[in-house]
Amino acid sequence: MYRYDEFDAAFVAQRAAQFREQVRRRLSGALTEDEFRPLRLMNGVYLQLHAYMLRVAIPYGTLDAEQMRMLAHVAEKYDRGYGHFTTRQNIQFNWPQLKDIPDILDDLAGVRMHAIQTSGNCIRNVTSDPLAGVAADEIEDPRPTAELIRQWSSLHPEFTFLGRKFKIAVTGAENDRAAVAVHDVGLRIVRGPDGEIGYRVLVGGGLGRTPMIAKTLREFLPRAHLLPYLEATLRVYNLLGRRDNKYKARIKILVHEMGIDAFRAAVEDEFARLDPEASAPDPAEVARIAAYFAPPAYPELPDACPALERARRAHPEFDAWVRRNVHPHKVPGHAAATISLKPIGGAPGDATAEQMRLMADVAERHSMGELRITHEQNVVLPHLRKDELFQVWRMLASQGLDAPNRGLVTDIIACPGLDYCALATARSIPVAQAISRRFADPALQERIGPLAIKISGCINACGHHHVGHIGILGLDKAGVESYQITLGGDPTDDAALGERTGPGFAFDQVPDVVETLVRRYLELRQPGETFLQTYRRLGMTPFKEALYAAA
Amino acid sequence: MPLLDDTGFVPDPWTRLADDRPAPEGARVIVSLARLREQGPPAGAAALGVHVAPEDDPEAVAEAAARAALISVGFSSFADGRGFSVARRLRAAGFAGELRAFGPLIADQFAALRACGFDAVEIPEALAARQDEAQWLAAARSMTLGYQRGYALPGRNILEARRAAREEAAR
Amino acid sequence: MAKRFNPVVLTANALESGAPLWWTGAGWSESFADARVATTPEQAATLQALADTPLMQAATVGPCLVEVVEEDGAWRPASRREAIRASRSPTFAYGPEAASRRGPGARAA
Ligand code: SF4
Repeated sequence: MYRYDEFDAAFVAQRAAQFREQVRRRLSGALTEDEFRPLRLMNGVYLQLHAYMLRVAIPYGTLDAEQMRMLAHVAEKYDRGYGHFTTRQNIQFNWPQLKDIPDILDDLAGVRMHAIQTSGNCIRNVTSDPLAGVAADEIEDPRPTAELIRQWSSLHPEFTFLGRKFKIAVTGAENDRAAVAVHDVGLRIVRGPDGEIGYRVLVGGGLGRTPMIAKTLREFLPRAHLLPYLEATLRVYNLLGRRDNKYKARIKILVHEMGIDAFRAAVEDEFARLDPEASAPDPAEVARIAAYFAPPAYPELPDACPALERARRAHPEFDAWVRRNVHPHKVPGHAAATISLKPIGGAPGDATAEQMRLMADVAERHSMGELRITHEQNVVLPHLRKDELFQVWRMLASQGLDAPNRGLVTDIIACPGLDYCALATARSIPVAQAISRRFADPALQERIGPLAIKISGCINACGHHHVGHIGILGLDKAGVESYQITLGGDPTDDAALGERTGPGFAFDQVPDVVETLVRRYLELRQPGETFLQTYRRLGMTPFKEALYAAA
Repeated sequence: MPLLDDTGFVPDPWTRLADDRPAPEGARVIVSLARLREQGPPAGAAALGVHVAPEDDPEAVAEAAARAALISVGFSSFADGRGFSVARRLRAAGFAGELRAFGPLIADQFAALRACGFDAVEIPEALAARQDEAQWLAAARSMTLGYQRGYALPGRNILEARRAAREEAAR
Repeated sequence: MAKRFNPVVLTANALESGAPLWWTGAGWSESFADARVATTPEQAATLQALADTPLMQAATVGPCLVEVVEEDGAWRPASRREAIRASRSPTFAYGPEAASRRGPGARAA
């Protein structure tokens, strides 16, 4: 993992002190709310329905046990004993007071954490593959690239008052687990013509009101040009992006309106005017960062693990968990495992301080002290020994963290929705809870197989509903919650946006709707076919009929 | 309107000229880009400054910059960050005259404005009354470290500091 | 056709804590039940004028009027959003309480 040097530490401490001063000036009246709002947003502070909300950055979703314990401490000392892990691999606290936030930031700075640019019209925290560094299909670990971008984008003097937020995602694997095609800029680590490593640069993807799949900006960008090329891209966006309408201000609209070819020409022109040497980090700096992500010293183990097989045979519930939540690892005798934050009937992504401490303990004892947050709002233990999986599972089960449902119908993504969010048009967590209870039976979940349900409480699409196999969007129709259903969305390599089934449904109908869709799929599927595959083979019609014929 | 540079509020030696007003003899005047393009530099002025908006044609801005000793870049609001990039482009193209940011900017942006190449900021009276000189100067110095190469950051550039430390260690 | 007048209350969030507040006629309260209801356009205009004062803007966040309706002799917020805000809580059990209700093991409903 990346460790701060003295400069990173001083930078974050200064930033926390700067925010303390900004809060003081707001409370004194020197700053109006209009002036303060962008400043607090740039530090992850929102005002929601019931309280302020603080979003803490977990850069590219990687954190260590000490940091997880600090999150537990913040939850307990300044909040109501829990936090919410988000689809952006961050954590949100729902109840902090503005006057306490400077203290929270100081506490976080003590463990190399911050809330810099977790919101606001600036370059947001970079997201990446939760299996970075351990996945077998990796060309290169994306985290050194993500860390380089994190540093470069922090308090960037030119790009902190952009027209709108700007999200960058990086993946280094063949299978895209970072959904790079739905980001403002997506980077795929690829091999160039001579085998050297560089980037395919995608631009203009995004969800929200106008969802779009990103287009290719540059087929191959040499590694050394990454930051200068991003600078050129951001400058073109900053100068030409629309500012007349907040819903048309994202780079995807600019790319769409200019056309990718004209946009590319503008970026290449800007890039040609730059002196890459003047803004690129020197190779020694890149190497310095990369060294932190060298693989840890794994013990040498045989890949086969009889103890694990015995435990699986003896404990069917453990066996189910291994089947669903454990991932292959590139080192023999090891595995990565998903801790599901989706217990039946729970609020997706929520964890209590006690659960956070337990996860920190498990990580420390069994996962070389490391944890990852996924955009599915779960947690990954990346470095487990196979012969310790049973102990890990037992520890997790003691705090309800053993749900064997990764990727199944109850592994639902949901944004905070109208229960917390000031922008929401409908509730989303209670919808997730109702669906989860409907499909509580683990055998039924397994029979249904992989199925991603994603729920957003408004068109901002924080719940990524456009890329859910079943997407659910909560709207307000004349004062009544109405849920629009989309089918066939997919954030991975063949990224696709879901298609609407038709008129929306009432809050109470949603579990029935999902059950109807699932039943139809079970009737129609061919052996081994997933929901998404069946949908792609047959299209909307049979599902639509099932939904609306009965009504 | 009140003018600030890195020493605090300073007297403004320049006069902004409405499009229909002649230049006072021997004065330093700032005219709009449109006026400059239509009428050329005002007769009798001692020095020429030009006010540009972010949506102005970059070619025209570059042309004006070649003739002007001062460029004033307009910000429609503090949230309109286009001017930061306008300044960067002007500096990158070699503009060595005075660069001034003009509009309702706030103290917290002072350091970033200077990092992008601005020398001074001209703000509305009411804003200056709420955010006094001490706040501007304190905000400009609140960060003394930064990561971006190629910008005039206040204090130290972290990447350069690391490089220096590496070179030191290698010696 | 003129829009029918709906009764309103003045609400905001507290600057320091962020908690929702309602104007009682004499000050702010954290309880919706204390809210002074404006039942005429004139009363609503008075509240709006109050919300617009620089002092109010500086001391709270986002002061604004929201509609209320009468039900069984008591006022309640007209929208679900404001009802949730007035309840000062999400519509479900959350945090440690919800987790302990579920108990260990992820399966219990
Ligand atoms: S999708 Fe809408 S309701 Fe949900 S968190 Fe985002 S802004 Fe709030």
